[in-house]
Parts: sequence; C-alpha cells; structure tokens
Amino acid sequence: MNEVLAAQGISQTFGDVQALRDVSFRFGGPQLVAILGPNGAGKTTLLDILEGLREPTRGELRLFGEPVRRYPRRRVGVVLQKEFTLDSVTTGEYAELFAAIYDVRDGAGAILRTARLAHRARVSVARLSGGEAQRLFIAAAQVHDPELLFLDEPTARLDPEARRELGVWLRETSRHRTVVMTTHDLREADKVCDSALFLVDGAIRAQGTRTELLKATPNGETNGLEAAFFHFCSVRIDATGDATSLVRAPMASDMGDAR
Amino acid sequence: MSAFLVLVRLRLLDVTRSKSMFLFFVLLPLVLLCVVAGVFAEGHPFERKQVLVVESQGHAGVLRALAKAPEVRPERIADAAHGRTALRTRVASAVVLFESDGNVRLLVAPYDGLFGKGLASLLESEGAVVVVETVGVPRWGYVHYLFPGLLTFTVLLAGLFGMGSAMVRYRENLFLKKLATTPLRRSTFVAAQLSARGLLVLAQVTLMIAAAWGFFDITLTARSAAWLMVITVLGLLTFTGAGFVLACVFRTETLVVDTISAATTPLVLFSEIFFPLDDLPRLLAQSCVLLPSTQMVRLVRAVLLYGETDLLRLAPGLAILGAWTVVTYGTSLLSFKWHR
Repeated sequence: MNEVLAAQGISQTFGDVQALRDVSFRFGGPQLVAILGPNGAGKTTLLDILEGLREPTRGELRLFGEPVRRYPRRRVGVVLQKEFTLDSVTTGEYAELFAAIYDVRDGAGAILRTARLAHRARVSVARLSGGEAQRLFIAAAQVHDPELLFLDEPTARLDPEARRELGVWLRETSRHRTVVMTTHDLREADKVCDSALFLVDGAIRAQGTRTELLKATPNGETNGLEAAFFHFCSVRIDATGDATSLVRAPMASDMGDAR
Repeated sequence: MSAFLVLVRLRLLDVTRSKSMFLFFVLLPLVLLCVVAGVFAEGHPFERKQVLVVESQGHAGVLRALAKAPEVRPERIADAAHGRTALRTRVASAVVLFESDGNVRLLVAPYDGLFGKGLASLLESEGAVVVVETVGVPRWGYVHYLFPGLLTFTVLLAGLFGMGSAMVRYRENLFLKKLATTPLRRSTFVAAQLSARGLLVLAQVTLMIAAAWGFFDITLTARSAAWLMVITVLGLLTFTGAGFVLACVFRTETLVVDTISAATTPLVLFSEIFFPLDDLPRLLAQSCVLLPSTQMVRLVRAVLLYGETDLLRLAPGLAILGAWTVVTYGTSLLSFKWHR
C-alpha cells in the first residue's frame, strides 16, 4: 500500500479532559475516508492534529510514508469546519489569495471555474449561499492539486440539494486523491465514503472499508453505515480502556487502498 | 417579572459578564483619577509661565532672580532661535537674551505684554537694564505645537488598532487558522500587514502635513519631510509592535479595543501632546520620557518646528523607538499563536 496518512497511538489531553485516546490508523491510495462520530467525539481535535495545527500529547503522525518533521503543506489541502469570511473579501479575491499562496498560475480562474462561481467573482464571500461558499472553499483548498484533502464537517449547514451536489463532487475529487472528512451525518457519509473510522469519546470504536464494516454488522448490507456505527459504538469504553479490543476486533487498522 | 425588568437584567448581565467590565467600570475611573491627580499635582500646566533664558554671561543671575518668582518656570536654553520657536508655538511666554553690552533683551509675544512688563520690573530690581521687545507670532502658533502630537497620535492609533485589533479579529474569524494550513510563511503575512498599514499611514500623514502646510502656516523643507517619513515609519513599527503584543495577550477583539481605548487618555496626557513633560512631577516626567509616544512627539517637533535634521541629535529618540520596536516584536513573535 502506498501510505498517505497514518497515526500511531495519538492521544490528546486538555487539562483533565482526554480528548483523544490512543488513536491509530493507516490510509493509502485515492479514497474518501469518513471520520464519523457524534458532536464532541474528538473529530475536530483529531483533524487539527492530522492537519498539523496541533501537536498531540502523545503518539506519532506519518504523512506520505514518513514521520512528520516539517508538515508538507504543499501536498495537503484543508477545508475547516468554519471557514473565514471577511465582509470586504470578494469571491474573486478569495480565489486570488489561495492561488497566490500556492503559486498556481491562473489558479484564481481555475478555482472560480471549479466552484462554478465565475459569475459571482465580485460578490462578497459572506454573501454566498452555503453551497456556493462550500464549493469555493473546497475548490480553493485543492487548487494546488493536493494528494491529501481534509474536510471538517463539509455538509454541515448545507441544504439537502447542496449536500447531494457536494456528495457527487466529493466522489469525483476522491478518485484522484485521499480525502478525509469528518461528519456526524451517517447517512451522508454512507453515500460517499469508501472507508470509515468510528470515533466516540476520543477513541476509535471501529475502522475499515465501508464493505468490511457492513459485512461485520448484522444486516449491515441492508441497513447501511448507520447500523454499523450503532452496532460498534453501542459498547462504551470504560476508563481503563478495557473494552477497546472488544470493539476493535472485527476491523483491521489498515485500510490500505479501499478501491 | 415584566419584560422591562428582564431586559434591564439581561443588559446588566451583558455588561457585568464581560471580561473587560472590571477594567472599564472599576479600574479605569480610578486609574484616570490617579493619572489626572499626577498630571495636575503642581497645578494647571500653563499656570506657571515658562521663561527661557539663553545661555550667556550673566544668565545665572537672571535664573536666580526668576527662581524667586513662583509664577514663572525658568529654563536655560542654548540659542535664541530655539527661544523664538518656543514663543511662536506659545509654549514659552518670554525669552531672555543678553546683548553684547550686557543689557537684557526680553522677548515677549503680543498677548504677554503685561507679563513682560512685570518680568522686566523684577529683573530691573536685581540691577539689570532691560529692553522689552514684542515679537510677532503666527495666529496658529499653538496649533504648531499640537501638530506633532496629533500626528503621533494618528500613527499610534493606526498601529495599535491596525495590528492589535485586526490580528485578534483575524484569529477570531479563523482567517489565521486557515492561513496556518497553507504554506504561507508567518513573516510574509506579518510583512504584508505592516506594508498595507504603512501605506495607509504614510498617505494619512502626507495629507495631514499638506493640510498643516496649506492652512496652518507650517513650513517644511525636503530634508525635514524625508525625516518625518522616517520617523513615521519607525513610529508605526513601534506601535504596530505594541498592537502585536496586545494581540498575543488578549483573546477577543473587544478586549483589545477596550484596552487601547483605556490607554488612550493617559497616553495623551503623558506624551507631551498638549504640554511639555516639565510641567509634570519630576519622577513622572522622567518615566514618561521613555514612552515611545513621547519620543515620537519630540522627534516630529524637533524636525518640524525646530528644523532639526542632524542625525546625531535625532539619534537618541530614534534609538528609543528602535528599542521599543525590537522588544515588542521580539515578545510578539515568541508568543504569537495563529489559532487557540
């Protein structure tokens, strides 16, 4: 497997609160990986660490087969859960900024074309609809054609039509790169993801390709990823972590190339 | 409970739960009271009229005589030109010169004629022969004195708000966090912010100087204009550095804005904008000399009013501003966080 992203024993504590507990996984190849969990599960904290925005309290992060010493920002794209919007910044200027940062010739035009927003170039980003804005943020985050793309809750605040449209787009973009997205919307994730990682209370309850997870769930193939999530996550991990092996046993931690 | 009472309660809680509440409602009024008490401990700044005595043989005797009069504040100066500028800007009420024959020439502005006669009587009672000369002063004389202070204050606010408030706002709305996910260098971002702010402030200062020259009779040479730009840029660096420190310390834009607003009044009083520091109690005056705002006011005043363009004479002020810049940027770069 051509390893793209790997975590080994990552833990994160904030004072007395343990936000992540011994998180380990390995992804590789073009695929869409969904990190699924309820609000407060530690998804954003984990993503902050994977994006190089936070040093974990413990554990090691590997990117593109190597331990991260200097984060390879040019090979990674990021869409935050809440992207910045400045009233004074137009859609065209936003595109121009990210094209300039990644030093991509005609990048601004490419971003606007990809986001299908060329006709809205002079409109403030703050005035775009939720779907339009999300298209802009994702297009800007992949203007430099990154090998790895992170999306934090990309479907939040989108209407059903915009979600459907984004789903199609995510499928398309994940054919060329590894896309890691967090979401608490299990049904949306089920439609688009190749692999999934279930995170509850900062610990991984199960992980694997979508097919593997469904196979390991009673009636999983009929009821989908939502059923798999509740199947694996109904067992709570106690303070000593005793239940970890129990819930993890069915799944391997190596998702390899899911396709 | 009626809607009126609920609204009153909510408004009160809105204020009292604010982190800057203690600063604004408790600390600031007390601090301002202490500041005003300190500033005016020895009376109103213009209560005692300043008399400048040009160094020469016999100046010691004149200073001794003036020291007996509590209503004047005598000060020794090196040259008459300095004294004439002080008269023109209405900082001094009289200038004492010594003629070659040993007689005293007393220069006073038209509005200080009566004071000049009294001063002449005092000096004559000590045995001096005094000639009183009334000199013309421009209508906008005190505006000339105030202008360097206003210019400094413009740069100070631009620096503090432009860097402090903007950085925290950018952090709050996740602009900085987003940039941290890109290969953009931190130094590129800070330099871009400084450059943009610098261009705005230079345009602002140019406009102010043009207005002062066009409407308020302030004269300017090419050399002094160039020096003003240098001082403006250095001042801006210093004040943006201070703003940067605030951005590192405070988490919300509201707190930064409140803090800058609270600091404004003491800075206006302590930076020689309206009156010289000599009018303050000695210890306070000595401390305030080290403020970057005081140094910038003095540098602009030296260049603009006294025509000073000699690097060696401006160097001490420039060095103090430079030191502030190094300290504030050093502190900020060590403690700055793109996101929390």
